[in-house]
Amino acid sequence: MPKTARLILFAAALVALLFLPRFVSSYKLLTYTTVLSLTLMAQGWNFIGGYTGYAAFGNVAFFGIGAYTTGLLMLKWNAPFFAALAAGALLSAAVASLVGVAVLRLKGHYFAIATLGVAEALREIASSWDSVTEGATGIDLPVRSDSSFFYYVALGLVVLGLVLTALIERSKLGYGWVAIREDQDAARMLGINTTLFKVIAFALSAVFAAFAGGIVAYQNIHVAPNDFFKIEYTLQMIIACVIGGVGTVWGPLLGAAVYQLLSTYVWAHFLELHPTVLGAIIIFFVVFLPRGLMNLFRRLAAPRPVATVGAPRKRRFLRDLLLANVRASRLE
Amino acid sequence: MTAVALSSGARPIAPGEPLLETRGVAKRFGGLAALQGIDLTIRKGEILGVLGPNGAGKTTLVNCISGLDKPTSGTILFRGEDITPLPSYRIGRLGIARTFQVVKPLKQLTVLENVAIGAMFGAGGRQRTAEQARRRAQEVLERVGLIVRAADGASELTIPDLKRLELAKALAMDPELLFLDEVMAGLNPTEVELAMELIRGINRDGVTLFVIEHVMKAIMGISDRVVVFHFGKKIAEGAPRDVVEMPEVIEAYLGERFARRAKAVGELGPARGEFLRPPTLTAVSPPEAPAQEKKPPLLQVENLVSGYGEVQILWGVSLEVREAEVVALIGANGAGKTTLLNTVSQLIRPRGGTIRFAGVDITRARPDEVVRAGIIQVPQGRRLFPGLSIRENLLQGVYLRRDAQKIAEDLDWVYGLLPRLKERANQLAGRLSGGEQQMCAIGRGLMGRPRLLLIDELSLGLAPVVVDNLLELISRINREGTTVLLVEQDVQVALEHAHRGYVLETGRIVQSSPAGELLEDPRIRQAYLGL
Repeated sequence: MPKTARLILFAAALVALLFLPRFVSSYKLLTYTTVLSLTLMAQGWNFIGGYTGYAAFGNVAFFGIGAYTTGLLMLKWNAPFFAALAAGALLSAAVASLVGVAVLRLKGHYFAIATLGVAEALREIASSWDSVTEGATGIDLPVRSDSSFFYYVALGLVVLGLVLTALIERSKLGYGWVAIREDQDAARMLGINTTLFKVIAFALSAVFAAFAGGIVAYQNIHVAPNDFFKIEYTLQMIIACVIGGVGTVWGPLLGAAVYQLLSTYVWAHFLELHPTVLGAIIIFFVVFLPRGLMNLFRRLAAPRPVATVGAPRKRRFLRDLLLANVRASRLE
Repeated sequence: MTAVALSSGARPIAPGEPLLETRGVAKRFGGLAALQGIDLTIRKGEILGVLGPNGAGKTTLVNCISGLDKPTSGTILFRGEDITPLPSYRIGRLGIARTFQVVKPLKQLTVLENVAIGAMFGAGGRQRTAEQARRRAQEVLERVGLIVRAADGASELTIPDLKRLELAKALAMDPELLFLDEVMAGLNPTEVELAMELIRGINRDGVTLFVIEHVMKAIMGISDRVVVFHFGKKIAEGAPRDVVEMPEVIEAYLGERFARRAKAVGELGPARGEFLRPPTLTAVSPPEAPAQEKKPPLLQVENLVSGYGEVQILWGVSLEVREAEVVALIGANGAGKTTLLNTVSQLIRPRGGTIRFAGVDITRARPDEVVRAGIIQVPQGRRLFPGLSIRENLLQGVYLRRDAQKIAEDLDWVYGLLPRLKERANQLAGRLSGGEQQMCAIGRGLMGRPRLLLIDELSLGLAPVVVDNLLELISRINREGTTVLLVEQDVQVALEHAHRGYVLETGRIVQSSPAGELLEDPRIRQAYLGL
């Protein structure tokens, strides 16, 4: 697609999303806001997990830090929401940098387990630091009933995330991340300061998780350890990235939308079988589209190779495409 | 940053002055002394050739200089400054680049992006935007002859192209000192000529080169000086022609046969800049074909069609291998040799034609059924299990066997054939030098007691003396009854040890003759022997 066509499409979609709250019920709007918060988390995970190739399994920690910081600042110091949200993001980035210097030395499963441990430790801290976090009961935030507010805040940050990801992807930082993902020793020899680049990726991923945490906290007006330090959130952001396409600009948004809307639909239609049906759908995605929807679109948009055996070959294109994807996943 | 200040503001070093010095560099891995006090000087503007048996410590030295491994003791000076404690990315930015013997492409990126990353972060990277780096990458790809593949994914390249990509990535870093670790492995003689010309050109542009290579013709042809390593020590240093005549070098590295060849090359004139002709060896002639014409062939391939995705590689290939034969398959890179072996092994499904083995149709067999039938492939690029020890890798080769007693005997047999494997039996395969990995891959193939052994690139990355031993080994197991189909870039060596040869060009067999006739055929000599 030419660049201008893309920009027009992007602008049209943005305008449509801007006016969306006028036309839908507040329940629908809540669903869409949830999609956007999940997108934020997934966009964050995409930096460390997608581009840099470090399977972070504890990003919910930063979601929780964002939620608690936003909540506590608003509650105790009457800070304005946006200032509190920014403070949460900064604190998250700082914690991620400190933790990152230590755990980013680990690779593969070890890194995943270490990050998982960090998230669990933070949950324990939130549950037991009564004087600040009110322990397991949690804290209550001021009420704000204007539901389109949260939608717009989340939408604005998602757009920020898209623009930032697109810029980074074409910058030295983005190339450096991908080089680290593909081969860390080679990346070092090419002159890349791998430690610094990884810490930046981890800190940025924390920032976006914290944004989501702050928004969800204010929307839910209550923050408690077991609601916010849930491993489900980590899993959801990873699943969203995988469905949409890891290491792509649009993957997190697309994956979060597909996942959340499917989840809502399945919930409404197969109440008791909800987890089973959703699980089956996720398995379908992982098996047949291991590189995500973005990869599928890219291949569909790419000029088709000239069929060597004649016309019948064209009809098998989609089947070949799926099989090629499956094969690719096994090779990796 | 100090690193950048050093490279941009540093005084120029006159040609012939020391550019890099190692002083007493030693490296131990647990109990193994990989390097034992290396004192070495690389002078500005020279091409320093590096020889040594597999596992001599050549790559380890490069790892230490480039900061990937830290020396256990000793210091490394670059432009007179101690760079020993620097992290590798800063050493890279100082103007030291390297290639990896076991190639490290960034697989999910395109060829162009791979090279652009070198241009972005190397010595010249500070001054470039990402977009300028991509343009620089284009130039470098033109230069190394990989521009036609710029938009392809790095994972789609063949081994020789991956070697070229390694070189391009390093060149894009604008190095002052470039370490090349076996970039010519897997090239046929004509391609070696081109690579030599390329390396000379790089050197003329002011890059100092440290070239590790087992292709003697190349080392003799381009080096100003040669150093030889053995067991982590420097055993010789000097002009190329003097070094190959030193008895300790012949004993440790070259072996008698290659020494004769190398010496002859050296006598042909002042080494550099001249077109060099490897002499034909009359001492070794191809073995006589086993007399058993009436039996049906062991492997019979007819009209085989194969390829990847939309790309067809093999266009109706027919060939046969008779019982107890050694058959060489020769052809340029990209001709389809590996595809043919992979299709016989069923790693790629045939699209047409038939494959029969010992009278049974295996055209539609699964890979494990092919192995069970007795066909075992030693794959290109080794494909060892890096997290397992040598012993464990060898034992993976007996997966389908149930005769525990015999397996133990065969393990001893393989250790006997390849003693190096026994010495390092408990080391992780991923920790071995390139040549030791190749030995391990062949050993693993032999452990399956194949009726037909398919070997893809036997000599890739091996010291001449080891190649000699392995070819002897192949002749020996052949006499003991194993049939061999051999793919080998050193066409001369391959044909000298084969009964018959097939020539593959762009996916079609263009010639098949007894090996002796192929060796004398003027067209073959011109196309594949560089004569």
